[in-house]
Amino acid sequence: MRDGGSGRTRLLLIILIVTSLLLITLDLRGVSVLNGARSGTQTVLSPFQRAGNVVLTPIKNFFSDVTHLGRTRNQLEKLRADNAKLKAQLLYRKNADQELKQLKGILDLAGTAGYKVINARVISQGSSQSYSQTVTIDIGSNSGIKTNMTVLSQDGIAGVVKAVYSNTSLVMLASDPSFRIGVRIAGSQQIGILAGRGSRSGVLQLLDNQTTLKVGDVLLARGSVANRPFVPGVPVGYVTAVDNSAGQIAQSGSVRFYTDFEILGVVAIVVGASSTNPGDALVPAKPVPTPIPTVTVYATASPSPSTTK
Amino acid sequence: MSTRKVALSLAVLTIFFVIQESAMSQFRLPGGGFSIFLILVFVWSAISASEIALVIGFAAGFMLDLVQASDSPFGQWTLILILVCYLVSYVGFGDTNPLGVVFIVIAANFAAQVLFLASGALLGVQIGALGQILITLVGTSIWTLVFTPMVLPLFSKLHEFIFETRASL
Repeated sequence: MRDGGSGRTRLLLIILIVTSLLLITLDLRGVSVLNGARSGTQTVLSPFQRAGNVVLTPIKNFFSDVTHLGRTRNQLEKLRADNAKLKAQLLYRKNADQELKQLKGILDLAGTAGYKVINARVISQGSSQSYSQTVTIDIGSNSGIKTNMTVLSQDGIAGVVKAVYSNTSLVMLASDPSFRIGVRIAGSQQIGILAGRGSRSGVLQLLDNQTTLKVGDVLLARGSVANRPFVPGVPVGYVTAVDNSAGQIAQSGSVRFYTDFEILGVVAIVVGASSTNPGDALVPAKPVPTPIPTVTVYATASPSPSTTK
Repeated sequence: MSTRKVALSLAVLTIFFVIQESAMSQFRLPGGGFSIFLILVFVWSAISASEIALVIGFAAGFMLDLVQASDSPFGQWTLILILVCYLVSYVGFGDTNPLGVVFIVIAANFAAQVLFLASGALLGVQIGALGQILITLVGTSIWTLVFTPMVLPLFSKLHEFIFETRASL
């Protein structure tokens, strides 16, 4: 450790602190020069992010497999039997299949509701040090993307377009702590506000104190004026726990989002919605339990050994 | 501190900033992962004089502010990194023990995140559930603890090359 530094160092410290405070003040007052700098940075970074996405996808899949080892143990054991060449091919094929599966899910969802969508690939995750949940996608204003458009995954809502650049866009995921969406419960049509919490679970606050919430209730987006930021009817999540605290005016509960934000590879941006509200048409089907085969064993008595001479 | 040294430092910072945003950001690691960019900034601050640490902190914070990932105002990271880098330099300058530098980097990373959360809360930025924040704080500290010793020799050599000091670790 040393002393507090020379007078010159202290002067530099004060100048830099004042400069940073000036930057904060300018930003809070909405000076557009700073937004231009951010936009320019994203434009410069986007080719690197695309390249990084292409080059690092096999490694990303490898880490994904490692972190989900419990779930993919059987698959990994099967892969071990393959030779190195097949393993490499499988990694690329697996990525393509996953994207295809996600894309098919998105198109099914959008087709049922009559949404006009543009598909996009996730090219970068948001900065972890900012405590925000964002991803960067590979299309922007050149493809007709605007801010506050709904972003879909194969399972439901993924987020909303927060910032648009020429060839990329920043998507705020539904798990972001500052994310808010008006929802209604499929069937009962109760309404509430769902907020992200930084993970796959969100918190729902009902607006009406006369209504009740049940575990398993499915939440759908209520929709916004002119369908921005949210188109109506998109599956959001389901209730996992209900808070019945006596001090609350209306019920609240925990919600698990349908979208798995960890594996987002392909998303779709809703650029046009049908004039009719899809209602509850997009409520996901409940998983059908896999029947456990009953094994019936017929035992027949073996003939008693005959005594032969 | 010559113009050449400042220019070379900014070039290295820019390279690692691009690596962080294009390569490291591809991975959503459990517990929030780590920032190779912040590790570089804190290692260099720990082995540099205060004036250099201040300039590094200002430049690094400005770069982080350019990445619009949260609702935090432009300048928030700049302010935080100026303060943290100055403190890191104040505490760590002259410490040639690699273990000491590693722990200074972890503490600085933790302090920067806590300052970011605290200042964000004061500025009205939504920061999420407490449990998730704690997981991220602990997770990033563990990742930093694991990763810093691996890159410390490289960052130390780069620093030695640019600043021609003998503070190699």
